[in-house]
Amino acid sequence: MTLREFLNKNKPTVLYFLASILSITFLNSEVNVYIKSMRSFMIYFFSSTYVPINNIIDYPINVANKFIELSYLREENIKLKHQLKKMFLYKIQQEEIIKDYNIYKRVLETKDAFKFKELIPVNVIFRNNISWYNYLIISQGRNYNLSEDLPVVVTYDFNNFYLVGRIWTVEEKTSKILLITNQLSGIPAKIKNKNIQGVIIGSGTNELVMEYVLLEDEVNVGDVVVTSSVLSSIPQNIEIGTVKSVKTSILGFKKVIVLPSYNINNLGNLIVLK
Amino acid sequence: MKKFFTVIFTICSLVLLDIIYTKIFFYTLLKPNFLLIYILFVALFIGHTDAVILGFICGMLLDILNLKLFGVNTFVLMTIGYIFGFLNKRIDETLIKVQILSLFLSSVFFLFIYYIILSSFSLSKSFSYHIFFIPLFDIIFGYLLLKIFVWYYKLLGII
Repeated sequence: MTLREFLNKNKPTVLYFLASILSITFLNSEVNVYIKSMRSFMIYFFSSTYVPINNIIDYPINVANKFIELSYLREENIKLKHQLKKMFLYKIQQEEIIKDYNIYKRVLETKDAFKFKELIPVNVIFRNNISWYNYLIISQGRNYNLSEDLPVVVTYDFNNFYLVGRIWTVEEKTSKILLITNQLSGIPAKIKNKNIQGVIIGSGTNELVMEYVLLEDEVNVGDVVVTSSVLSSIPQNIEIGTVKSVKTSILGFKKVIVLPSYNINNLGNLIVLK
Repeated sequence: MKKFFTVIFTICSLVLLDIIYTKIFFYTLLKPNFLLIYILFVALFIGHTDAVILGFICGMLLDILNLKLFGVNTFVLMTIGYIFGFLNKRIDETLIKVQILSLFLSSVFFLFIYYIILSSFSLSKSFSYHIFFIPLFDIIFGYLLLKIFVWYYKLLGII
């Protein structure tokens, strides 16, 4: 028997032994760097086939998951809306805090500049539409050491102060402000830079009336009306308004119509002078 | 040439089937060895030499795709192809009991040699009871796959 005949007859056995030697070589050459790198390359090469298969298999699973998520969507939406509301409230609070902080900061600076004893920033919390020009409520009271008759002013640039009214009644955490437009309010006033005295009385409207101005006193339209030094509780020279018109009253005095220098309908942050 | 492309197509299909099975039933430890079933089919229905060659090729492919000891699948599948190749044209491979017994024996033989080689390289996995169910899985899936292979190869006129 020739070698060729032997190989043909025992082809599977010969192949098996040859391949066995090769596979045993593979087994023993696991640590070989070249084998490892070749294997890594082949795995990298074949791994690309996993991607489309994974996509195909994952598609129905993803669709099913989306439907499951859909059932939770309503609850999640309600939760989110609730959180959004909360966040909105927090935002408003935050803005108010920043606003208050800025006011406090300016107040502290102004206190030193104008030599007021104390400036207390207050917030308007209530204003009745029936008594719109009569009074308003602020959120500070005895807890801020407020007391009756203290003047309340408004400022926009911390250079000029405008008289709003006086503290009428004080509660523990709130106070009622008697506005200068209230008919019960009477504040001694004078024309700025002139020695013309009078009393500013409210009319229940946007306009004020300066009474008891003598007929011989020269009051012109556009004159500025400020507080006088008659009342010790109110510092002098706080601006009230400007003269709109001058009439003669039945009592034999001039009746000076004064318009407040500020928008009395828009009062938010006020300052109490102490 | 037809036989060559059919074999390539079959091996690729089985690799894909393996990936899909792993992807879908990722939570189960049991997985039929599709390439082992194919080698058994080749050994019983096609020829002894083909079984050895395909055992070597399929084993190489498994070794490349699995991050285990390189060469272990090559050796085991080739050995199975060689041993079961002796049954080619000596038994009636169309009988169900022959097919089931061959599947069972090949599966047990595969596990046995596989674990011996791994333990000889101190790489043996921790023993778990699921190993006893692997031959059962191989029999169930193997029987179905053998039917498909026989039908497909007969259709192409290879067997």
